[in-house]
Amino acid sequence: MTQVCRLTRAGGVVQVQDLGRKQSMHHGVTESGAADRHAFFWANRLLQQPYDTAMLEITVGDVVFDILHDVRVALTGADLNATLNGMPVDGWQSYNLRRGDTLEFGFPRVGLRAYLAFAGELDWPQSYGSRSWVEKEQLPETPVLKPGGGVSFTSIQPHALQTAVPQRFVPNYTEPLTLDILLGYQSHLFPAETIDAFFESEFEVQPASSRMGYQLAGPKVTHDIEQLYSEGIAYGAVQVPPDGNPVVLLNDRQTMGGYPKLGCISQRSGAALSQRLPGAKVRFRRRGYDELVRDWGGVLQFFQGVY
Amino acid sequence: MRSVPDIAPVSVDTWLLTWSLDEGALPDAQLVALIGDLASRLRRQFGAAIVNTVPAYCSVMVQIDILSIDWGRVETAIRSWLSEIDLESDLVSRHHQIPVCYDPELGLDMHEFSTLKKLSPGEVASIHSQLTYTVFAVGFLPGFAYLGHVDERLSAPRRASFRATVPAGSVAIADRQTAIYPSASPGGWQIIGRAPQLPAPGDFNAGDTLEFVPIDRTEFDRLAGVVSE
Repeated sequence: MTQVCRLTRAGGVVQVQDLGRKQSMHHGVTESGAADRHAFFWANRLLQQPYDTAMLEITVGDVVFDILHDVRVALTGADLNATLNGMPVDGWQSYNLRRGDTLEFGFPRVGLRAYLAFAGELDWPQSYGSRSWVEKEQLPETPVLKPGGGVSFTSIQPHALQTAVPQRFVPNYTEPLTLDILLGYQSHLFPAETIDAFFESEFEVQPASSRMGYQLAGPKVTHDIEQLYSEGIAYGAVQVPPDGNPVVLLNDRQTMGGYPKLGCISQRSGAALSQRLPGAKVRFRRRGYDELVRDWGGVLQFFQGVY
Repeated sequence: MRSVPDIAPVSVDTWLLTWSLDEGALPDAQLVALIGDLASRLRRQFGAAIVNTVPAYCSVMVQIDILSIDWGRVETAIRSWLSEIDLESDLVSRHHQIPVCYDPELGLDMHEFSTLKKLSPGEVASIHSQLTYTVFAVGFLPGFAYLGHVDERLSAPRRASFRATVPAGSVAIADRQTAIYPSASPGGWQIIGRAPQLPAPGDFNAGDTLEFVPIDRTEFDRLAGVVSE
Protein backbone atom coordinates (compact mmCIF):
# COMPACT_ATOMS: atom_id res chain seq x y z
CA MET A 1 0.00 0.00 0.00
CA THR A 2 1.43 3.35 -1.07
CA GLN A 3 0.29 6.86 -0.33
CA VAL A 4 0.07 8.45 -3.76
CA CYS A 5 -1.34 11.90 -3.13
CA ARG A 6 -2.57 14.21 -0.44
CA LEU A 7 -5.56 16.52 -0.72
CA THR A 8 -4.27 19.90 0.46
CA ARG A 9 -7.23 22.11 -0.42
CA ALA A 10 -10.87 21.25 -1.02
CA GLY A 11 -12.99 24.30 -1.78
CA GLY A 12 -15.32 22.15 -3.88
CA VAL A 13 -16.25 18.54 -3.21
CA VAL A 14 -13.94 15.55 -3.64
CA GLN A 15 -15.57 12.12 -3.31
CA VAL A 16 -14.43 8.58 -3.88
CA GLN A 17 -16.88 7.08 -6.40
CA ASP A 18 -17.33 3.83 -8.24
CA LEU A 19 -20.43 2.31 -9.84
CA GLY A 20 -22.38 2.41 -6.58
CA ARG A 21 -23.82 0.09 -3.95
CA LYS A 22 -25.36 -3.29 -4.76
CA GLN A 23 -28.33 -4.77 -2.91
CA SER A 24 -28.48 -1.81 -0.54
CA MET A 25 -31.75 -0.15 -1.47
CA HIS A 26 -34.02 -2.57 0.40
CA HIS A 27 -32.24 -1.31 3.55
CA GLY A 28 -33.01 2.28 2.61
CA VAL A 29 -29.38 2.83 1.55
CA THR A 30 -29.10 4.73 -1.71
CA GLU A 31 -27.31 3.42 -4.83
CA SER A 32 -24.84 6.34 -5.19
CA GLY A 33 -21.93 5.94 -7.66
CA ALA A 34 -20.25 8.23 -10.19
CA ALA A 35 -22.70 10.85 -11.46
CA ASP A 36 -21.25 10.91 -15.00
CA ARG A 37 -20.67 7.28 -15.99
CA HIS A 38 -19.54 8.23 -19.48
CA ALA A 39 -16.61 10.23 -18.09
CA PHE A 40 -16.02 7.60 -15.38
CA PHE A 41 -15.80 4.71 -17.86
CA TRP A 42 -13.45 6.61 -20.18
CA ALA A 43 -11.07 7.50 -17.32
CA ASN A 44 -10.59 3.81 -16.51
CA ARG A 45 -10.36 2.95 -20.21
CA LEU A 46 -7.51 5.44 -20.64
CA LEU A 47 -5.60 3.57 -17.92
CA GLN A 48 -6.45 0.12 -19.36
CA GLN A 49 -7.98 -0.99 -16.07
CA PRO A 50 -11.34 -2.58 -15.11
CA TYR A 51 -14.23 -0.29 -16.01
CA ASP A 52 -15.57 -0.16 -12.45
CA THR A 53 -12.32 0.83 -10.66
CA ALA A 54 -12.97 3.52 -8.01
CA MET A 55 -11.67 7.05 -8.64
CA LEU A 56 -12.16 10.61 -7.42
CA GLU A 57 -15.14 12.71 -8.50
CA ILE A 58 -14.33 16.43 -8.19
CA THR A 59 -17.36 18.72 -8.17
CA VAL A 60 -16.97 22.46 -8.87
CA GLY A 61 -13.20 22.41 -8.26
CA ASP A 62 -10.92 24.68 -6.20
CA VAL A 63 -9.00 21.55 -5.18
CA VAL A 64 -5.26 20.89 -4.85
CA PHE A 65 -3.42 17.56 -4.69
CA ASP A 66 0.25 17.09 -3.76
CA ILE A 67 1.60 14.07 -5.58
CA LEU A 68 3.68 11.86 -3.25
CA HIS A 69 4.57 8.95 -5.54
CA ASP A 70 5.08 8.49 -9.29
CA VAL A 71 1.71 7.52 -10.72
CA ARG A 72 -0.26 7.39 -13.93
CA VAL A 73 -3.59 9.22 -13.90
CA ALA A 74 -6.43 9.97 -16.28
CA LEU A 75 -8.54 13.09 -16.28
CA THR A 76 -12.03 13.22 -17.85
CA GLY A 77 -15.34 15.00 -17.40
CA ALA A 78 -15.68 18.71 -16.73
CA ASP A 79 -12.99 21.24 -17.60
CA LEU A 80 -12.23 22.69 -14.16
CA ASN A 81 -9.18 24.67 -15.36
CA ALA A 82 -6.78 21.97 -14.18
CA THR A 83 -3.06 22.75 -13.98
CA LEU A 84 -0.02 20.56 -13.36
CA ASN A 85 2.74 22.53 -11.62
CA GLY A 86 1.01 25.68 -12.81
CA MET A 87 0.77 24.65 -16.50
CA PRO A 88 -2.70 24.02 -17.98
CA VAL A 89 -3.55 20.36 -18.70
CA ASP A 90 -6.27 19.13 -21.04
CA GLY A 91 -8.90 16.65 -20.01
CA TRP A 92 -9.80 13.28 -21.61
CA GLN A 93 -6.14 12.20 -21.46
CA SER A 94 -3.80 10.22 -19.26
CA TYR A 95 -0.71 11.74 -17.65
CA ASN A 96 2.38 10.42 -15.92
CA LEU A 97 2.73 12.33 -12.64
CA ARG A 98 5.91 12.47 -10.55
CA ARG A 99 6.52 12.70 -6.86
CA GLY A 100 6.59 16.40 -5.96
CA ASP A 101 4.09 17.48 -8.65
CA THR A 102 1.12 19.67 -7.75
CA LEU A 103 -2.19 19.00 -9.51
CA GLU A 104 -4.65 21.81 -9.10
CA PHE A 105 -8.29 22.29 -10.15
CA GLY A 106 -9.68 25.81 -10.53
CA PHE A 107 -13.32 26.69 -11.17
CA PRO A 108 -15.57 25.23 -13.88
CA ARG A 109 -14.94 26.39 -17.43
CA VAL A 110 -17.18 23.75 -19.01
CA GLY A 111 -19.23 21.17 -17.04
CA LEU A 112 -19.41 20.57 -13.31
CA ARG A 113 -17.73 17.26 -12.34
CA ALA A 114 -14.22 16.10 -13.23
CA TYR A 115 -12.99 12.51 -12.82
CA LEU A 116 -9.44 11.80 -11.66
CA ALA A 117 -8.53 8.12 -11.99
CA PHE A 118 -5.29 6.53 -10.83
CA ALA A 119 -3.65 3.43 -12.32
CA GLY A 120 -4.05 1.20 -9.30
CA GLU A 121 -6.56 0.09 -6.76
CA LEU A 122 -7.72 2.58 -4.15
CA ASP A 123 -7.20 1.49 -0.58
CA TRP A 124 -10.58 2.57 0.74
CA PRO A 125 -13.22 0.67 2.75
CA GLN A 126 -16.33 -0.67 1.05
CA SER A 127 -19.95 -0.75 2.05
CA TYR A 128 -22.47 -2.84 0.07
CA GLY A 129 -19.68 -3.63 -2.41
CA SER A 130 -18.91 0.03 -3.07
CA ARG A 131 -16.50 2.75 -2.01
CA SER A 132 -18.93 5.52 -2.92
CA TRP A 133 -19.67 8.11 -0.29
CA VAL A 134 -23.00 9.80 0.34
CA GLU A 135 -23.01 12.95 2.43
CA LYS A 136 -26.46 12.56 3.97
CA GLU A 137 -26.03 8.93 4.98
CA GLN A 138 -22.71 9.00 6.80
CA LEU A 139 -22.44 5.24 6.95
CA PRO A 140 -19.68 4.69 9.52
CA GLU A 141 -17.68 2.43 7.23
CA THR A 142 -17.29 5.01 4.45
CA PRO A 143 -14.85 7.74 5.48
CA VAL A 144 -14.72 11.26 4.06
CA LEU A 145 -11.76 12.61 2.14
CA LYS A 146 -10.83 15.88 3.86
CA PRO A 147 -8.02 18.41 3.34
CA GLY A 148 -4.83 16.93 4.72
CA GLY A 149 -6.09 13.43 3.97
CA GLY A 150 -4.00 11.03 1.93
CA VAL A 151 -5.13 8.65 -0.79
CA SER A 152 -3.38 5.29 -0.89
CA PHE A 153 -3.30 2.62 -3.55
CA THR A 154 -2.28 -0.96 -3.96
CA SER A 155 -0.82 -2.42 -7.15
CA ILE A 156 0.18 0.93 -8.68
CA GLN A 157 0.87 0.57 -12.39
CA PRO A 158 4.06 2.05 -13.84
CA HIS A 159 4.19 4.97 -16.22
CA ALA A 160 3.09 4.24 -19.78
CA LEU A 161 2.47 6.08 -23.02
CA GLN A 162 -0.02 8.91 -22.82
CA THR A 163 -3.47 8.00 -24.11
CA ALA A 164 -6.36 10.24 -25.16
CA VAL A 165 -10.07 9.74 -25.78
CA PRO A 166 -10.94 10.06 -29.50
CA GLN A 167 -12.44 13.51 -30.06
CA ARG A 168 -15.79 12.16 -31.23
CA PHE A 169 -16.42 10.63 -27.78
CA VAL A 170 -15.67 13.86 -25.92
CA PRO A 171 -19.02 15.41 -25.02
CA ASN A 172 -19.85 19.07 -25.29
CA TYR A 173 -21.45 20.03 -21.98
CA THR A 174 -22.54 23.45 -23.23
CA GLU A 175 -24.81 22.34 -26.06
CA PRO A 176 -28.59 22.20 -25.48
CA LEU A 177 -29.44 18.85 -23.96
CA THR A 178 -32.22 16.47 -24.98
CA LEU A 179 -32.91 13.78 -22.40
CA ASP A 180 -34.07 10.35 -23.59
CA ILE A 181 -36.98 9.16 -21.48
CA LEU A 182 -38.75 5.82 -21.30
CA LEU A 183 -42.32 6.49 -20.26
CA GLY A 184 -43.34 4.25 -17.35
CA TYR A 185 -44.46 4.27 -13.72
CA GLN A 186 -47.66 6.38 -13.65
CA SER A 187 -47.25 7.99 -17.10
CA HIS A 188 -50.59 6.44 -18.15
CA LEU A 189 -52.33 8.41 -15.38
CA PHE A 190 -51.17 11.79 -16.71
CA PRO A 191 -53.57 13.52 -19.12
CA ALA A 192 -52.54 13.06 -22.78
CA GLU A 193 -52.34 16.85 -23.25
CA THR A 194 -49.93 17.07 -20.33
CA ILE A 195 -47.65 14.44 -21.89
CA ASP A 196 -47.75 16.22 -25.26
CA ALA A 197 -46.96 19.57 -23.62
CA PHE A 198 -44.14 17.96 -21.62
CA PHE A 199 -42.40 16.83 -24.81
CA GLU A 200 -42.82 20.25 -26.42
CA SER A 201 -41.52 22.18 -23.42
CA GLU A 202 -38.08 23.46 -22.57
CA PHE A 203 -37.02 23.30 -18.92
CA GLU A 204 -34.29 25.07 -17.01
CA VAL A 205 -31.95 23.46 -14.44
CA GLN A 206 -32.54 25.07 -11.03
CA PRO A 207 -29.91 25.97 -8.41
CA ALA A 208 -31.16 23.37 -5.89
CA SER A 209 -29.88 20.56 -8.17
CA SER A 210 -27.42 18.02 -6.78
CA ARG A 211 -26.26 14.42 -7.03
CA MET A 212 -29.60 13.53 -5.43
CA GLY A 213 -31.73 15.08 -8.11
CA TYR A 214 -31.98 17.82 -10.71
CA GLN A 215 -34.80 20.27 -10.16
CA LEU A 216 -36.29 21.62 -13.37
CA ALA A 217 -38.57 24.59 -14.00
CA GLY A 218 -40.61 25.44 -17.07
CA PRO A 219 -44.21 25.08 -18.15
CA LYS A 220 -46.01 23.27 -15.29
CA VAL A 221 -46.61 19.55 -15.75
CA THR A 222 -50.18 19.36 -14.52
CA HIS A 223 -52.03 16.31 -13.21
CA ASP A 224 -54.51 15.45 -10.51
CA ILE A 225 -53.06 12.08 -9.56
CA GLU A 226 -53.51 11.42 -5.84
CA GLN A 227 -50.64 10.68 -3.49
CA LEU A 228 -49.59 7.08 -3.98
CA TYR A 229 -48.10 4.51 -1.68
CA SER A 230 -44.35 4.97 -1.84
CA GLU A 231 -42.54 2.74 -4.29
CA GLY A 232 -38.92 2.15 -5.33
CA ILE A 233 -37.30 4.97 -7.31
CA ALA A 234 -35.09 3.90 -10.21
CA TYR A 235 -32.14 5.93 -11.49
CA GLY A 236 -33.32 8.75 -13.74
CA ALA A 237 -36.92 8.74 -12.51
CA VAL A 238 -38.79 11.92 -13.43
CA GLN A 239 -41.17 12.69 -10.58
CA VAL A 240 -43.75 15.43 -10.66
CA PRO A 241 -44.73 16.89 -7.26
CA PRO A 242 -47.99 18.84 -6.92
CA ASP A 243 -46.24 22.12 -7.90
CA GLY A 244 -45.78 20.72 -11.44
CA ASN A 245 -41.99 21.19 -11.57
CA PRO A 246 -40.33 17.92 -12.59
CA VAL A 247 -37.39 16.52 -10.63
CA VAL A 248 -34.97 14.06 -12.24
CA LEU A 249 -33.68 11.70 -9.55
CA LEU A 250 -30.04 10.67 -9.87
CA ASN A 251 -27.41 8.65 -8.00
CA ASP A 252 -27.96 9.82 -4.41
CA ARG A 253 -31.78 9.79 -4.70
CA GLN A 254 -34.01 8.57 -1.92
CA THR A 255 -34.72 4.85 -2.33
CA MET A 256 -38.52 5.27 -2.44
CA GLY A 257 -41.11 7.97 -2.83
CA GLY A 258 -44.77 8.53 -3.50
CA TYR A 259 -44.95 11.38 -6.03
CA PRO A 260 -46.29 10.42 -9.47
CA LYS A 261 -43.53 9.61 -11.94
CA LEU A 262 -43.51 9.88 -15.73
CA GLY A 263 -40.73 7.36 -16.37
CA CYS A 264 -36.94 7.36 -16.31
CA ILE A 265 -34.29 9.12 -18.37
CA SER A 266 -31.48 6.94 -19.72
CA GLN A 267 -28.11 6.43 -18.02
CA ARG A 268 -26.46 8.30 -20.87
CA SER A 269 -28.83 11.26 -20.50
CA GLY A 270 -28.38 11.28 -16.72
CA ALA A 271 -24.61 11.41 -17.13
CA ALA A 272 -24.89 14.42 -19.45
CA LEU A 273 -27.43 16.12 -17.16
CA SER A 274 -25.14 15.79 -14.13
CA GLN A 275 -22.59 18.00 -15.91
CA ARG A 276 -25.09 20.84 -16.37
CA LEU A 277 -25.05 23.96 -14.22
CA PRO A 278 -28.11 25.90 -13.07
CA GLY A 279 -29.61 27.81 -15.99
CA ALA A 280 -28.89 25.06 -18.56
CA LYS A 281 -31.80 24.24 -20.89
CA VAL A 282 -33.12 20.72 -21.32
CA ARG A 283 -35.87 19.00 -23.29
CA PHE A 284 -37.20 15.45 -23.25
CA ARG A 285 -37.47 12.95 -26.12
CA ARG A 286 -39.52 9.75 -25.94
CA ARG A 287 -37.55 6.58 -26.61
CA GLY A 288 -38.55 2.92 -26.76
CA TYR A 289 -37.36 0.21 -24.39
CA ASP A 290 -35.61 -1.90 -27.05
CA GLU A 291 -33.52 0.91 -28.51
CA LEU A 292 -32.48 2.08 -25.03
CA VAL A 293 -31.40 -1.45 -24.07
CA ARG A 294 -29.39 -1.83 -27.29
CA ASP A 295 -27.76 1.52 -26.69
CA TRP A 296 -26.80 1.07 -23.01
CA GLY A 297 -25.98 -2.63 -23.43
CA GLY A 298 -23.57 -1.61 -26.18
CA VAL A 299 -21.91 0.99 -23.95
CA LEU A 300 -21.46 -1.52 -21.10
CA GLN A 301 -20.11 -4.20 -23.44
CA PHE A 302 -17.60 -1.77 -24.92
CA PHE A 303 -16.22 -0.71 -21.54
CA GLN A 304 -16.41 -4.13 -19.87
CA GLY A 305 -14.57 -5.68 -22.78
CA VAL A 306 -10.84 -6.16 -23.21
CA TYR A 307 -8.93 -3.32 -21.62
CA MET B 1 -53.87 -16.78 -4.54
CA ARG B 2 -54.04 -13.04 -4.75
CA SER B 3 -54.16 -11.34 -8.13
CA VAL B 4 -51.05 -11.34 -10.26
CA PRO B 5 -49.04 -8.11 -10.23
CA ASP B 6 -48.73 -5.73 -13.13
CA ILE B 7 -45.10 -6.07 -14.35
CA ALA B 8 -43.57 -3.25 -16.41
CA PRO B 9 -40.11 -1.85 -17.13
CA VAL B 10 -39.41 1.61 -15.72
CA SER B 11 -35.88 1.91 -17.14
CA VAL B 12 -33.37 -0.09 -19.14
CA ASP B 13 -32.46 -2.36 -16.21
CA THR B 14 -35.34 -1.90 -13.77
CA TRP B 15 -38.84 -3.39 -13.52
CA LEU B 16 -41.71 -2.55 -11.24
CA LEU B 17 -44.18 -5.15 -9.97
CA THR B 18 -47.35 -3.52 -8.69
CA TRP B 19 -50.30 -5.12 -6.91
CA SER B 20 -53.56 -3.19 -6.90
CA LEU B 21 -55.29 -2.48 -3.61
CA ASP B 22 -59.02 -2.07 -3.12
CA GLU B 23 -60.15 1.53 -3.16
CA GLY B 24 -59.51 3.12 0.23
CA ALA B 25 -57.90 -0.02 1.69
CA LEU B 26 -54.88 0.18 3.98
CA PRO B 27 -51.78 -1.68 2.77
CA ASP B 28 -52.09 -5.35 3.48
CA ALA B 29 -49.69 -7.08 5.93
CA GLN B 30 -49.86 -10.40 4.09
CA LEU B 31 -49.13 -8.74 0.74
CA VAL B 32 -46.06 -6.96 2.12
CA ALA B 33 -44.86 -10.23 3.67
CA LEU B 34 -45.18 -11.74 0.19
CA ILE B 35 -43.30 -8.94 -1.58
CA GLY B 36 -40.56 -8.80 1.09
CA ASP B 37 -40.07 -12.54 0.74
CA LEU B 38 -40.11 -12.34 -3.06
CA ALA B 39 -37.39 -9.66 -3.04
CA SER B 40 -35.14 -11.67 -0.74
CA ARG B 41 -35.69 -14.84 -2.80
CA LEU B 42 -34.60 -12.96 -5.93
CA ARG B 43 -31.44 -11.71 -4.23
CA ARG B 44 -30.63 -15.20 -2.96
CA GLN B 45 -31.38 -17.07 -6.16
CA PHE B 46 -29.77 -14.74 -8.69
CA GLY B 47 -27.00 -13.21 -6.52
CA ALA B 48 -25.06 -10.38 -8.11
CA ALA B 49 -27.29 -10.38 -11.21
CA ILE B 50 -29.86 -8.65 -8.99
CA VAL B 51 -28.40 -5.16 -8.48
CA ASN B 52 -31.14 -3.85 -6.19
CA THR B 53 -34.63 -4.58 -4.93
CA VAL B 54 -37.08 -2.23 -3.24
CA PRO B 55 -40.10 -3.98 -1.72
CA ALA B 56 -42.56 -1.35 -0.40
CA TYR B 57 -46.29 -1.43 0.49
CA CYS B 58 -47.75 -2.92 -2.68
CA SER B 59 -44.84 -2.98 -5.14
CA VAL B 60 -41.37 -4.40 -5.70
CA MET B 61 -38.78 -2.64 -7.81
CA VAL B 62 -36.17 -5.00 -9.26
CA GLN B 63 -32.95 -3.78 -10.89
CA ILE B 64 -30.84 -6.35 -12.77
CA ASP B 65 -27.40 -6.47 -14.37
CA ILE B 66 -28.50 -6.55 -18.01
CA LEU B 67 -25.21 -8.06 -19.17
CA SER B 68 -25.43 -11.07 -16.89
CA ILE B 69 -29.12 -11.99 -16.96
CA ASP B 70 -32.21 -11.67 -19.15
CA TRP B 71 -35.28 -10.19 -17.54
CA GLY B 72 -37.28 -13.07 -19.01
CA ARG B 73 -35.55 -15.54 -16.67
CA VAL B 74 -36.26 -13.38 -13.63
CA GLU B 75 -39.89 -12.87 -14.60
CA THR B 76 -40.39 -16.60 -15.17
CA ALA B 77 -39.02 -17.30 -11.68
CA ILE B 78 -41.28 -14.63 -10.17
CA ARG B 79 -44.40 -15.98 -11.89
CA SER B 80 -43.68 -19.54 -10.88
CA TRP B 81 -43.12 -18.60 -7.19
CA LEU B 82 -46.28 -16.56 -7.16
CA SER B 83 -48.30 -19.44 -8.53
CA GLU B 84 -46.83 -21.99 -6.12
CA ILE B 85 -46.36 -20.06 -2.91
CA ASP B 86 -48.46 -20.97 0.13
CA LEU B 87 -49.08 -17.72 1.97
CA GLU B 88 -49.75 -19.52 5.26
CA SER B 89 -46.56 -21.54 5.47
CA ASP B 90 -43.92 -20.45 2.93
CA LEU B 91 -43.24 -16.84 3.79
CA VAL B 92 -40.03 -16.10 5.68
CA SER B 93 -39.99 -13.03 7.90
CA ARG B 94 -38.43 -12.14 11.21
CA HIS B 95 -40.02 -10.86 14.39
CA HIS B 96 -38.33 -8.05 16.33
CA GLN B 97 -38.80 -6.91 19.91
CA ILE B 98 -37.71 -3.30 20.40
CA PRO B 99 -37.37 -1.87 23.91
CA VAL B 100 -38.70 1.67 24.06
CA CYS B 101 -38.88 4.21 26.86
CA TYR B 102 -42.00 6.42 26.73
CA ASP B 103 -40.67 8.94 29.30
CA PRO B 104 -41.79 12.40 28.04
CA GLU B 105 -38.21 13.64 28.57
CA LEU B 106 -37.23 11.33 25.69
CA GLY B 107 -40.52 11.28 23.80
CA LEU B 108 -40.25 14.96 22.95
CA ASP B 109 -43.85 15.39 21.78
CA MET B 110 -45.47 13.08 24.33
CA HIS B 111 -47.09 15.85 26.41
CA GLU B 112 -48.50 17.68 23.39
CA PHE B 113 -49.48 14.43 21.67
CA SER B 114 -51.29 12.89 24.64
CA THR B 115 -53.16 16.17 25.22
CA LEU B 116 -54.17 16.24 21.56
CA LYS B 117 -55.45 12.65 21.76
CA LYS B 118 -57.13 13.22 25.16
CA LEU B 119 -55.12 10.36 26.69
CA SER B 120 -52.52 10.15 29.45
CA PRO B 121 -48.88 9.46 28.46
CA GLY B 122 -49.26 6.08 30.13
CA GLU B 123 -52.29 5.26 27.97
CA VAL B 124 -50.42 6.32 24.82
CA ALA B 125 -47.54 4.03 25.79
CA SER B 126 -49.85 1.15 26.55
CA ILE B 127 -51.86 1.44 23.31
CA HIS B 128 -48.70 1.87 21.21
CA SER B 129 -46.97 -1.16 22.72
CA GLN B 130 -49.87 -3.60 22.64
CA LEU B 131 -50.03 -4.19 18.88
CA THR B 132 -47.76 -6.19 16.61
CA TYR B 133 -46.69 -4.08 13.63
CA THR B 134 -45.66 -5.01 10.11
CA VAL B 135 -42.68 -3.44 8.28
CA PHE B 136 -44.35 -2.04 5.15
CA ALA B 137 -41.18 -0.53 3.70
CA VAL B 138 -37.63 0.47 4.59
CA GLY B 139 -36.48 3.84 3.28
CA PHE B 140 -36.16 7.59 3.87
CA LEU B 141 -33.03 6.91 5.97
CA PRO B 142 -30.83 3.79 6.07
CA GLY B 143 -32.72 1.33 8.28
CA PHE B 144 -35.86 3.48 8.71
CA ALA B 145 -38.81 1.06 8.79
CA TYR B 146 -42.35 2.24 8.08
CA LEU B 147 -44.53 0.28 10.54
CA GLY B 148 -48.28 -0.11 10.51
CA HIS B 149 -50.99 0.10 11.40
CA VAL B 150 -51.11 2.25 14.49
CA ASP B 151 -54.30 1.97 16.59
CA GLU B 152 -56.83 4.55 15.40
CA ARG B 153 -56.85 6.15 18.86
CA LEU B 154 -53.21 7.22 18.25
CA SER B 155 -53.56 8.33 14.66
CA ALA B 156 -52.34 11.93 14.35
CA PRO B 157 -51.07 14.10 11.53
CA ARG B 158 -47.44 15.18 11.25
CA ARG B 159 -46.36 18.13 13.37
CA ALA B 160 -47.25 21.58 12.02
CA SER B 161 -43.59 22.54 12.16
CA PHE B 162 -40.76 20.34 11.01
CA ARG B 163 -38.18 19.50 13.69
CA ALA B 164 -34.65 20.31 12.47
CA THR B 165 -33.20 17.39 14.41
CA VAL B 166 -35.10 14.37 15.60
CA PRO B 167 -32.76 12.55 18.02
CA ALA B 168 -31.54 9.11 16.93
CA GLY B 169 -33.67 6.34 18.40
CA SER B 170 -36.82 8.46 18.56
CA VAL B 171 -40.04 6.46 18.21
CA ALA B 172 -42.66 8.48 16.39
CA ILE B 173 -46.13 8.42 14.85
CA ALA B 174 -47.59 9.88 11.65
CA ASP B 175 -51.18 9.01 10.69
CA ARG B 176 -51.52 5.21 11.05
CA GLN B 177 -47.75 4.67 10.79
CA THR B 178 -45.00 4.47 13.39
CA ALA B 179 -41.21 4.26 13.11
CA ILE B 180 -37.86 4.35 14.90
CA TYR B 181 -35.39 7.00 13.68
CA PRO B 182 -32.15 5.00 13.22
CA SER B 183 -30.06 8.20 13.10
CA ALA B 184 -30.55 11.87 13.88
CA SER B 185 -32.43 13.55 11.06
CA PRO B 186 -34.88 16.34 10.31
CA GLY B 187 -38.42 15.05 10.66
CA GLY B 188 -42.04 15.95 11.18
CA TRP B 189 -43.44 12.89 12.96
CA GLN B 190 -44.84 13.04 16.52
CA ILE B 191 -42.17 11.72 18.90
CA ILE B 192 -43.58 9.62 21.75
CA GLY B 193 -40.58 7.64 22.98
CA ARG B 194 -37.01 6.56 22.40
CA ALA B 195 -35.31 3.23 21.77
CA PRO B 196 -32.02 2.76 23.62
CA GLN B 197 -30.51 0.66 20.83
CA LEU B 198 -30.31 2.12 17.32
CA PRO B 199 -31.35 -0.08 14.42
CA ALA B 200 -28.61 -0.77 11.84
CA PRO B 201 -29.42 -0.40 8.13
CA GLY B 202 -29.80 -4.15 7.63
CA ASP B 203 -31.96 -4.94 10.67
CA PHE B 204 -35.42 -4.67 9.13
CA ASN B 205 -36.86 -6.07 5.93
CA ALA B 206 -40.26 -5.42 4.40
CA GLY B 207 -42.67 -8.02 5.74
CA ASP B 208 -40.96 -8.43 9.15
CA THR B 209 -43.08 -8.00 12.26
CA LEU B 210 -42.20 -5.93 15.28
CA GLU B 211 -43.45 -5.16 18.77
CA PHE B 212 -42.42 -2.46 21.22
CA VAL B 213 -41.52 -3.48 24.77
CA PRO B 214 -42.00 -0.63 27.27
CA ILE B 215 -39.03 0.01 29.57
CA ASP B 216 -38.48 2.59 32.31
CA ARG B 217 -35.85 5.30 32.36
CA THR B 218 -33.40 3.29 34.46
CA GLU B 219 -33.54 0.39 32.03
CA PHE B 220 -33.21 2.81 29.11
CA ASP B 221 -30.05 4.33 30.60
CA ARG B 222 -28.63 0.88 31.24
CA LEU B 223 -29.29 -0.36 27.71
CA ALA B 224 -28.17 2.91 26.13
CA GLY B 225 -24.95 2.71 28.13
CA VAL B 226 -25.58 5.97 29.96
CA VAL B 227 -23.38 6.09 33.07
CA SER B 228 -25.14 7.75 36.01
CA GLU B 229 -23.15 10.41 37.85
